[in-house]
Amino acid sequence: MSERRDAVLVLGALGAGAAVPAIGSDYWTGFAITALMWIALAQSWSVFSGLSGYVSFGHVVFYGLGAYLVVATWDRLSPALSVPLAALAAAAFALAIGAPVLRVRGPYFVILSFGIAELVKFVVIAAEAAAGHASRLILRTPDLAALFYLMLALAAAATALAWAVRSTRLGHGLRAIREDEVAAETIGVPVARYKLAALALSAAVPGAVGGTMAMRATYFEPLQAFDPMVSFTMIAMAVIGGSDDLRGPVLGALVLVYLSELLWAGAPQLYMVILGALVLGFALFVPGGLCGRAGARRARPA
Amino acid sequence: MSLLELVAVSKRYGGVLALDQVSFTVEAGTIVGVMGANGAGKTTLFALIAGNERPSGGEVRFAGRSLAGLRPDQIARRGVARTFQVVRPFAGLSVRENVLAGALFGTRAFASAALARRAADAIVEEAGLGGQADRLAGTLTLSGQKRLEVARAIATGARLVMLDEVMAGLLPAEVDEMLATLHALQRARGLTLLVIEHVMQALMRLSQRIVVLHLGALIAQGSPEEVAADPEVQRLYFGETA
Ligand SMILES: Nc1ncnc2c1ncn2[C@@H]1O[C@H](COP(=O)(O)OP(=O)(O)OP(=O)(O)O)[C@@H](O)[C@H]1O
Ligand SMILES: [Mg+2]
Repeated sequence: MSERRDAVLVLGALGAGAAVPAIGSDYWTGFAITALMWIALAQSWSVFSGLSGYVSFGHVVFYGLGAYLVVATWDRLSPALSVPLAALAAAAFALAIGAPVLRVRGPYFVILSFGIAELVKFVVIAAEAAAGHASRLILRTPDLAALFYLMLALAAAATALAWAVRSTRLGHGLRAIREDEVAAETIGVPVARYKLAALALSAAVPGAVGGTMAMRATYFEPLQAFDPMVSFTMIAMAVIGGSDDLRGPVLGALVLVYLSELLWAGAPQLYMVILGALVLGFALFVPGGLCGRAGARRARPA
Repeated sequence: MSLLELVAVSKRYGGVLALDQVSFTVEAGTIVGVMGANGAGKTTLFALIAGNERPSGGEVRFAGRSLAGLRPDQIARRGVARTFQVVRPFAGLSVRENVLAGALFGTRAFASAALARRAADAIVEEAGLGGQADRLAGTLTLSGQKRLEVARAIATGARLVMLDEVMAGLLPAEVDEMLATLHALQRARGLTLLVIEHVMQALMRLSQRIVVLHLGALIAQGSPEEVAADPEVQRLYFGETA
């Protein structure tokens, strides 16, 4: 089956990437951490939004909460405990907001997901201000290679999760929901339960990724940890690569990480312009993304 | 015991009484036709039975148990399936995947994904969609999409399958094909069918019993001959203006 072939391909490529810290400089290890982070995030996003069609513009909230949890518990918990906890907390938050939020479809869901992430950002800013922090520093973080292997594991976990969801009833049910929610529930798809489960699963890895990136940055600053650009970027990667395909988010992440590396130093504004144009172009003309089914996804009856 | 029982089922949309205290029963293994002019409440009846809409009054019972308060997916798992008059294919999925979705959910528990796939592919063939199995559902012709509605509903393994104008807009030759397909599918599976159709001839040929709705009320029921001879039906359908 092609799903299995794709999973073996992606996981194999990630496995080969494990050699980077041994053969490359710190620059390359750092670059690889960034690439793996985006692979993990875009892949996680596609588990929920790519399959269900509920386009989340707020996935950074899970990333930010994960970062916050790891930093806030830094003196009391080891990362071996706090990073998995960050994943659990993000999933728990998804479950808590999911029931009311997932009643809303289409553009309303897009706006709501964005709004919730912004709201949480300002709540965290207020809480931090009340506690007397503008930002927090953490000391004695793991070395670069350790962070690399952690991020590699998260990218692999996100890919394995995406594969698992796709090859089970959950994936088929989510696709049915994406295509027509009324028809889906009429053939027996438990739509509310499935959307909630997908959102929680899709939130866990970003929670852990946020925690890991806080250790890499060695500080936490809410405006940065909850930056909406993180949500936009993962969407862009999934859309460009193909959000209903195991390879798509990986390919999209690599393309955009490379593009940003090329342009960031010289022309950061140009990067944003190109990103916007690419997302628009793909959404309009190649809705399946680079890995999609020959652009016919939205075809209408002849 | 009847498979389906409607007890004084009503549905009000604002000022419109779409269904007015409709009661009838459907015996297991039979084909029952639903007749009625535009706006008579036929589609509303299906939506209430399948749980897409809640009745304003009365009760629907299936296999001896009330369906009151159940969600559509719960009702589907009890063994009720419907098609949509205005087709609702999973347009971005292939024909095969559409029918597989029906098989994976609905009433049946397959021991493996491969078995579900095999069952779905068999239904794709039986429904006459074998040649289009890998096409995206959104690219089928109307008649193909109507067949797909039927195939997906049957794939759920439902005991009661409700077909809403699956022959509307088809050419006469296509109607004959569809009738043959429906008969074959029904006999092979011992299904109970509730069939809405405007093509009277087709409905008469297909059904063992017919219920007639008019402005939300049930005005006649019986064998096709009895219904055709009913004075009220005669008046409404065969001319004489009131
Ligand atoms: N969602 C709704 N909101 C308001 N009114 C509705 C709704 N659905 C149906 N109705 C009204 O209820 C009545 C019955 O409609 P229904 O679709 O059940 O008729 P039908 O017998 O299926 O007609 P047709 O043969 O045209 O398909 C109509 O007057 C219709 O306008
Ligand atoms: Mg109708």
